[in-house]
Amino acid sequence: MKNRRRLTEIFKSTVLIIGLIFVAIPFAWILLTAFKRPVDAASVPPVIFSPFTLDNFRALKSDEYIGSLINSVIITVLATTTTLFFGVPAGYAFARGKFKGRKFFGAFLLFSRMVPPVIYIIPLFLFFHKLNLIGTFSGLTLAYLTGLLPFTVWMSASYFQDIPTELEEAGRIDGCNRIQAFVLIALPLAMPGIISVGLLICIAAWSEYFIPMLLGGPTTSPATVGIVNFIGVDSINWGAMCAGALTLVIPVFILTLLAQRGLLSGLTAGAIKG
Amino acid sequence: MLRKLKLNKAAVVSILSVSGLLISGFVAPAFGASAQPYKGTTLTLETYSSVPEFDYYKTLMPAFTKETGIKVNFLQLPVDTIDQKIPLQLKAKDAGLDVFFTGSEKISAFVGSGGVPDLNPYIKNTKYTPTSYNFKDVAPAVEAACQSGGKTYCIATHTGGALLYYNTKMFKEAGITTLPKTPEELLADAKKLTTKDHAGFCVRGDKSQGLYDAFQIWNWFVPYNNPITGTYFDKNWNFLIGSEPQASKFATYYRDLLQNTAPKGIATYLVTNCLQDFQQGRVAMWHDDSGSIPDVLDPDKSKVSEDTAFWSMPCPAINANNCALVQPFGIWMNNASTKKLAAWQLIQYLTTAKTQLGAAMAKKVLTPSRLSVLSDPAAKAVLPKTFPEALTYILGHPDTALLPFIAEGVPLIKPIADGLSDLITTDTPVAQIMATMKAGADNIMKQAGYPKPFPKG
Amino acid sequence: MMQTSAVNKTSVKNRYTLSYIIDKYFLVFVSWPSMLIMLAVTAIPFIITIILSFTNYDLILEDWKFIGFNNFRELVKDPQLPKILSNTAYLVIGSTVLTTTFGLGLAVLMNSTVRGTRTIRSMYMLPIMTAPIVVAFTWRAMFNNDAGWINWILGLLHLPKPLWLGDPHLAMPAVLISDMWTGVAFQAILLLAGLMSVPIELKQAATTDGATNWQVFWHVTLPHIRPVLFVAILLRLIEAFRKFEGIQILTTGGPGIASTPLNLAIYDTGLYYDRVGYAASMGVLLIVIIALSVGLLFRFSPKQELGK
Repeated sequence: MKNRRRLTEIFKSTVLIIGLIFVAIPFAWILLTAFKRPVDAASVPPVIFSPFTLDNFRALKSDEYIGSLINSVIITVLATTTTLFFGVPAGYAFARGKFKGRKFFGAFLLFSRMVPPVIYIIPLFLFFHKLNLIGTFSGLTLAYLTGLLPFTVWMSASYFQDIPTELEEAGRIDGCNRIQAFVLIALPLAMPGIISVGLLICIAAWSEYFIPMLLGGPTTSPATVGIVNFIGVDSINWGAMCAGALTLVIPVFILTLLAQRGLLSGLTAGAIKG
Repeated sequence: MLRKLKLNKAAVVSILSVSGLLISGFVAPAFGASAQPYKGTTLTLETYSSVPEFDYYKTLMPAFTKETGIKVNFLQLPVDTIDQKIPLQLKAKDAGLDVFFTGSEKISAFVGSGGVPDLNPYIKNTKYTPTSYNFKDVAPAVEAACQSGGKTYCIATHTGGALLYYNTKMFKEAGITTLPKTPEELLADAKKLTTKDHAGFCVRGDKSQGLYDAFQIWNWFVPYNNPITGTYFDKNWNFLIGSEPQASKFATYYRDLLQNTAPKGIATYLVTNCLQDFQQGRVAMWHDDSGSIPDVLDPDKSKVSEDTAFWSMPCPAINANNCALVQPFGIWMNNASTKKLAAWQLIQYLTTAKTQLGAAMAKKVLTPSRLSVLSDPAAKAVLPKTFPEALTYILGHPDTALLPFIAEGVPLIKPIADGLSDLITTDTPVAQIMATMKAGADNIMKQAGYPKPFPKG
Repeated sequence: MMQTSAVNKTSVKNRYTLSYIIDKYFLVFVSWPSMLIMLAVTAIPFIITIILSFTNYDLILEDWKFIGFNNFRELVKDPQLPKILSNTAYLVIGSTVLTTTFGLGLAVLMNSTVRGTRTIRSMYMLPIMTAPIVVAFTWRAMFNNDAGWINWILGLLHLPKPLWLGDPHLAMPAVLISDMWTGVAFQAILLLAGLMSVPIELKQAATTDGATNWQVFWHVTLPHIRPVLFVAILLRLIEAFRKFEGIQILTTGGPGIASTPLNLAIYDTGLYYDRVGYAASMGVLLIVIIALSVGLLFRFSPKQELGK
């Protein structure tokens, strides 16, 4: 009996580790290639270890790439805060109230999340161009909102639904108005979930490529677009691209490690209610 | 009295200095006006990133600003982004774009949408362009790719001639002593050069490459009719590529070449794939634009930098004078720009003989478009040895119509590219594929209202 | 955000003070900005897209006109449409089913091991944290026939080296494999959260009643995580329809259209072949397909309500 148990344990661990190897291999490639010369990066047959060079990181130091990293930070912060600002209270409204247009709003949110940007990107480009929003941070934030807002409203609503209404009703009996009930009672209780949603949309905004590629401008393009600059007309600078990829991945990794506890409990709480 | 004197001295000094300032203030602008009439303007230029030629031009911008007082936002974006964003910007009449670089094959699209102005008025006006600019020095055969209907829409910044890159070591190992002079010889050589270590022949086969691949090959089988519709149509709008007997001849050859002597996966090969294969010694011959020459000769990027040479396939009888693809990058002006005169100064600056010579000496442009630079001994010393001969042949036998100079040029890509892909990846009979291709092309032309009167050159 | 008025016990009597109005209509007040933003930025381009689908708007030609249902007629007769649709179905169904199944399995494993769960979990978060564009490039390099690691490793193991990106039959599977790298990890993390919330008492009660592990899973755990499972499947379904960089960078939809789903076909038609009107009609088709798929999904899970 004990042997059987040990065997299943070993089996489980092995499968998990094999899975981890699959996860890690592409990362190993990125990490190794970031330090290779172009002739080694594209080498046939592939070489795992080759002369070490820091040229790729020097290529990153150029003004544009660092500027694009800064833009990534700016856009991510703007998009995340704006989305939370509008989305969380809207989620609360959903969870609590029966107000006019609730059903329509819900359906519309789901619908707009469903549709790929490809479909409306050209009209959106022309539309934004008329409003002089191309290449501006406000234009980009607006465009990001369309993708992030539905998810935020949806998840916030489920977190708020988890909180029993009795607490807020008690507060109202004590004389709180709706605003205070929201800010002082509901919000703190739902905070773990809100943080996890915030983290997820933060990652999503940081990783977005398609929208800023077409709607971004010279001073506002994020690093995800900047990294593609290493594709030339005829050659691809794999090494520099991997170096850039590292600058994209490592900040997210650190951020997630710091918030890991909050993220999982939040996902748990929210996901159960769907 | 003394006080008055003192005052007078101080007063004189201050009066002199103030008037000195005033005078210089009045006079200097007058001088500046003639030297820097556009001072304070800011232009936006968009071009491809990671291209040695444009990286070099970017380094010239501070000098340009110093000389003219014009500031330049020199934006580099990936190829795909530029190629997709420019049409959008032109369509939206985006005044935020003044100057841009792209390939010249979509000229009919840019002209048709009214997106780019004629540059001749600027070129010919000595007020904006000194005679030393010498526009005619830009090889006419190359500049033709930028011209349509007697107007000039872009300036060619490099030759963009297509030639054969080949690996001398592999040729030696295969026992081939003379370079191929006919398509049949090329095919035979490619088969000999296909070993387990390397493929014989490479050309970009992906459908996103604007027909680049097959164009270089069908030019050995399809007759060139006129500068406007090249090998696509004759003056009665017959679709030449799909018409027999040349359609099947070409298609059979293309299929044989790409299925049996090319790297596996050729149907998705972008130029980067062929380049990489060549650099890694995985393919013996590569037919493509001369623009990649710096990349194959750089030992930091290429394993075969010592074994690379260049060759231009001679024209066969069916297309004796125009079989060599010439498709330069062009620098264009946006018709919606509000600073056209300043923009022209920038365009001019980037296309002078001085700039091109500098680029050649810096090894960033090894295929300049100006005849004077090509024949300059200093430049010749830096150009790869086998290149000048190949280039001379190309310039003598040019075909600049990578896409026909009509508005339907871009939509025509689809049926042709689909047919080419089928030739490589399926076993459908050749005649059937070409017939489908012809039907697709005819359909597009019909929907666009053809046959129309043939445009004047 | 909003002014917090002092608690006013007499506010009930003053029915028309500002604070009372804000209070009463708070929910509306707070949700309509979101709605308006969404409407402005999404609905307007949608409507334009629908209008464009009835025109021959082009990025090349100067003038355009309304051409009625011509685009749709052409679309229905387009010989490439069946292949594009089958690619779409392959991707959507394949991605959703495979990632959810493997993700669930992985989640179950992670839930039941004791040691190092937290470290393992953080490692599995890596694919989710990587920008899709980076994922796309990495897999493109990995799948390269000659220089890529996948074929190199297969060669070391003396296994055949398929022509991943060049063979029309392998292009779509390659897309699916690269999709699973992110997808399985995402589903695993999401479902793990759900699994962890299953009360241990319920499982223990079932075990003491004599149920095997499998029966516990099937009859206790699975029903309990039904809501999470629904969300996971729905999210994956939507993502599969939206997938862009992962395919565009990996295969550019090739060879030919072997790996072009409808999403990518719209992009090619509109931005590469410049036929915006026709692309818009394809967009309308895609919207209809997505709506139907999501609707079907909701049908199969009657307990979920829309717009909660």
